[in-house]
Amino acid sequence: MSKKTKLLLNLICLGILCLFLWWAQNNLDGYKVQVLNLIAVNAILAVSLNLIYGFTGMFSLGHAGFMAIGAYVSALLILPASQKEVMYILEPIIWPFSVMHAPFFVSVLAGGAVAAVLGLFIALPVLRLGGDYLGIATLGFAEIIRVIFTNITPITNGALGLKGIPAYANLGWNYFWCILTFYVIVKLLSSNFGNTLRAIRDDEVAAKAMGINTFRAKAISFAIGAFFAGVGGALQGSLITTIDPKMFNFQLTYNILMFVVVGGLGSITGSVVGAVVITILLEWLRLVEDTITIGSFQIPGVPGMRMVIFSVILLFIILKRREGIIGGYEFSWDSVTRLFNRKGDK
Amino acid sequence: MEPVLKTNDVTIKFGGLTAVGNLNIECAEGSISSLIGPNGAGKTTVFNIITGFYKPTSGKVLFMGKDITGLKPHEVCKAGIARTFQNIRLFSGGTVLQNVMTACWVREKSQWWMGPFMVPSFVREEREMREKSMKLLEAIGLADIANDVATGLPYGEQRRLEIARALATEPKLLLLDEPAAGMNPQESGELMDFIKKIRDEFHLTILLIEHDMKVVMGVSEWIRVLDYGNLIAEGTPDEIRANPRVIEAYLGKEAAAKC
Amino acid sequence: MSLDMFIQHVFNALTLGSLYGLIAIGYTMVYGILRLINFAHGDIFMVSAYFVFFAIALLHLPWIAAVILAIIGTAAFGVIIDRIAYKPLRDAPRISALISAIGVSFFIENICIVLFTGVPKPMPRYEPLVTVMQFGNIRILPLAIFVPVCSFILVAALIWVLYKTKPGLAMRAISKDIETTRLMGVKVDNIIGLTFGIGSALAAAAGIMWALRYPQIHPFMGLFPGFKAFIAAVFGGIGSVPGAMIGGLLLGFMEIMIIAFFPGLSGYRDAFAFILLILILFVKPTGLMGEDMEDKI
Repeated sequence: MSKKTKLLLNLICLGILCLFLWWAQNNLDGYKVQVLNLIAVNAILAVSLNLIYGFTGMFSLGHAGFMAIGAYVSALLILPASQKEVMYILEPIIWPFSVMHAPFFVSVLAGGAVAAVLGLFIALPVLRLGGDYLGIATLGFAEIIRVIFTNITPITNGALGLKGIPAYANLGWNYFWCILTFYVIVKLLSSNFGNTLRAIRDDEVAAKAMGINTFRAKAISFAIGAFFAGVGGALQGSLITTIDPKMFNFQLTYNILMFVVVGGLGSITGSVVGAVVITILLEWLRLVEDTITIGSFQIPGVPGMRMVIFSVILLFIILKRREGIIGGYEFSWDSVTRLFNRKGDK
Repeated sequence: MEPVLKTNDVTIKFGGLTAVGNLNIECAEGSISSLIGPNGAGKTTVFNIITGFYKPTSGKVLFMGKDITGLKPHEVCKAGIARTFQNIRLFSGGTVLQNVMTACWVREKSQWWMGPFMVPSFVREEREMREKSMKLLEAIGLADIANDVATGLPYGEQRRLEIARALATEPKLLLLDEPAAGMNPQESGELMDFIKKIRDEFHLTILLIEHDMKVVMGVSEWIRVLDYGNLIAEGTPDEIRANPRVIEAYLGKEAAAKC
Repeated sequence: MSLDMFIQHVFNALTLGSLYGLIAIGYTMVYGILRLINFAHGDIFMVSAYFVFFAIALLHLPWIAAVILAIIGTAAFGVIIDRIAYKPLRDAPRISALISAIGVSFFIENICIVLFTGVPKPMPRYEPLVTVMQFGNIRILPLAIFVPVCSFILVAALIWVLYKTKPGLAMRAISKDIETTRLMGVKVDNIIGLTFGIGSALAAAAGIMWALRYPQIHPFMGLFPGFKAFIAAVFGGIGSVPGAMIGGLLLGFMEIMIIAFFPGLSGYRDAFAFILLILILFVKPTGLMGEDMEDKI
């Protein structure tokens, strides 16, 4: 299939998506639109973690920390100064955080950028570690960030968090960032640089011997992953309009890990599928926690059951089908052609 | 003429154990030579020192006249030394072509960020690297399985792929660690011709570690023997075959006495 | 700070540190033989407190029986977790087992929320240990002496098992080379089960003593002690039992003493352990008493 045809097909799909989103905005109820929004944000988060873990082999458990940074930076930039002044009741907000302001696009970009800078800062010492140690070191950093945010009250309003964040994150913005994230990461991964990342994942010793500066490549991959995690955090902050340090806990990282593992490590298609499936599942499982009324019977909800079922699903996937739903397969127009060719042969 | 590779009194100690002691070897340009010795003699350790995975406790490694001691492995590769491994280390998640293309990265001028921006020079270089890799695969005879998963290949082909991958880094010195391991006599015969062919075609200097004496004797112009980390003999294949110290190292004193 | 305050802090630190140490031993033993960070270990610690609570509140057992039941129950629980969630992944990449451990951890926490609700349950008081004793100006709980002494005895017993018994020898052998040990005819799976059992039993002892000291039992009570105990294990040298205890004591002292001398930092209390972790990983990842595990090229 020629490059022009692929480009055309991609543009057509993009067009269909835009039409669908426009239709959804005007025809679906608020709850369903919210789910669509969540899917976009979760897809960004899933793909960014997959870049770091599934494609470069770095088991990072610090994603919640990067999200926190992105969320707070963005929120502080889009909250009006007057609102900030009123909200900071424990300790007054300090300059320049009191006056800084930026349009939404810039604030999300800034959130990602600050997260990326921190990612690099963390990467320098932490990337020499491998496997489990990298996991707990990144987890440690995420926890440190959380504790710091809870304590620097003049900047973050401490444990109270920020409320009433302007809800700029609508379908348009979320999917814009989602498409952008995908474009950048897919382009990166399909280049020879992407090959070097996979090589580092598969055998770092051989990668070094073949002239790859593995430390530099890992740092770059980590920083890019952190950037998009920050973007995801920023969007999520504006979507749910309140943020506080407690919500950026290990469970949040674990949720994103689920998107990636369930969908399939090392597959962008998998991350999308994982994000869609798990987001819908998580929402649908809320049913289990709320009271269900059938006729005149009331089946009481069971709080906590959602996460129980959720963790059982993760355990099932890891024990029975650890390649995930998609199992490493990657969607491409060429594979579609091959599928049709094979069917045509019959 | 300046030897391509020269080690000056290279010694490496691990705790109290001297794995390699005062090693002085030289490889002449364009030569095919071997490093042999019983198991545990320190041969792969020598490779690891040359390629920068280990830093010697003392001594220097000179490549094309430049001191490369202490350089990181990727810097050593960039300088022009490539290697294969005792236990094949292919990139398991990639295809045959991807394995070779990855090794082209070290010679690329493009920057990592150029992909998303579709910079024309980047697009061109990606195409060139793909063509270069395919040409290499054709020279090796693996071009028709370019899109197969690398680790699904039969053993002999995996070894050839590992060599092709090393060649993609455009080395001047190629280190082969037991390339004939696990091969039957026909395969090792083909390997011997293959080694000579690539030396000529790619203007290489080749140093191999090998246990298969047929390959060693058939392909080497010069042989060095290591035992307990020390160089105990070096010479032409005929000289080494008759050297009693070498026989003793491999087969023990009684065998040497019988000669 | 007065001498009396200081002595009280020392006893606090000793108690906290010993408890961290007991929990840390479970992490270090499992990591030593399986190279797995058992994320669920902190939750095993939590479960033991619930065992005691229900043994006394529902079954009205006397303390001794409740404690014994809790320890045996928790040990069994630990072994079952291994059988179901870790054993099938013995040959899988290590990350799979790690993800499974995380999954088990969340499962246990949330099933406890479902069964017991998130509302903290009050641990029954064991009067002899929690009646305050007064020596002049110093007020300490008998628990503050009981915990370190009890922990010391348990660790000494464990070290005896490790170095003077056959199963202990098998455990040490497995942590060096699991395949060869298997080839030597050792029933590796049984020994692994035993390791989980012992580690969980020690965590149970810690859990019961912890609940006596901090009497609120809730499903997430094992989260932070678990993380910190793991950090203590890394600090002392992952794989080393004495190291785990030493690491635990040092961490306990560090946590209590920093707050004692710098009360303004108390909001950062939980971050100290993580900062210590980052420092260890950079300076000496193998910890105080650990050994280097190198990659063969």
